[in-house]
Amino acid sequence: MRVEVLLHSRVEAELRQLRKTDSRWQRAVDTAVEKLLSAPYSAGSPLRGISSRDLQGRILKLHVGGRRGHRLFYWVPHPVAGSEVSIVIPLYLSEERRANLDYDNIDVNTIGADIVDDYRSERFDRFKRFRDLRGLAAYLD
Amino acid sequence: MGHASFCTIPLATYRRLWLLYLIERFHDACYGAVRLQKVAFFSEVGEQQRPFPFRKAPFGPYSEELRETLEQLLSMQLVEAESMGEEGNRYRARICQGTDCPYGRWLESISPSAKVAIDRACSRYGYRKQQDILDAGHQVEGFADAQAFETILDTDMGSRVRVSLDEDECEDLAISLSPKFARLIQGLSETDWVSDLDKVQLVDAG
Repeated sequence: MRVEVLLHSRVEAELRQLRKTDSRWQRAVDTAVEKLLSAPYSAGSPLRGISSRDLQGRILKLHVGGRRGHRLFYWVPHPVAGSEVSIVIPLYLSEERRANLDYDNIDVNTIGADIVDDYRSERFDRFKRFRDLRGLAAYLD
Repeated sequence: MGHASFCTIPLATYRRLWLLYLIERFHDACYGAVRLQKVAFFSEVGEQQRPFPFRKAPFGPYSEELRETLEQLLSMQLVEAESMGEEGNRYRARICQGTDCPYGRWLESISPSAKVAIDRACSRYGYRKQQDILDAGHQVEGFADAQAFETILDTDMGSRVRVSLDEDECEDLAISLSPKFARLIQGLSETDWVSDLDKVQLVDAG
């Protein structure tokens, strides 16, 4: 099955910003994207504590730049019968320090509500699809 | 699993975790909000790290904060309420099951004795007749002498709660019990991402 990354403009900006920091972070972002494209289910670790069996393992987080680095949260929708495409949707690139973050008060758009809203409202111009790292890396350069 | 360390979560998150665990301890369901309030109260008596304050109310010890937390769990679809007509609702927890389910371990990582206290209160008071539970609530030391709506058992916790988990798991705890994330996950799961995919521009390497 072919994997496509469905990238929203906000996450695109987050990735672009991190890549611009220096060559180390550029490599870290590219490595993360490559993992997403090659094996989305095993690239990151599933969020623990999801109650619905149906949703368990669909929201995952991937360390970018090592365990003390940023975490890229992403969503893997259920595959559609007959479809040859599996979609991966990056939601949110977190800041480095996280232990004391209050997720009750975080902006809903920061964590991905804007992605759901834009897609449902057919604002497709805010999205891009990518099938390989070269395409995505070139786009972010 | 990373190295054991400490982090903090908001008190509101701990309250959701604590109450969710309590409701899950009922074999079938918790029959009525009054029963829930009283079992929660008796889970806190004699304990340290009490998440909810209780006041004197006509039906015994009552916590408005607990009622609000229950509303949050209902809106997050982590608890479901089924009407019993004039007898109120019965409440069931919809949390994951099995060895991978982290709720019990998460609770222990904050308050090692909370699980034991909840289990004990649940088995001692959870299945009694309603009147017996009400009587037990009224017989609590200090209840009779308290003024109406006076605090009879206060919370001893600050606005943030220390957790003995590594940062990774602490973040999972905070996220999975965040109402905003619950809404996000609901929105993500209810969206058809495939049908209109062709309307999104494909960027190729070339």
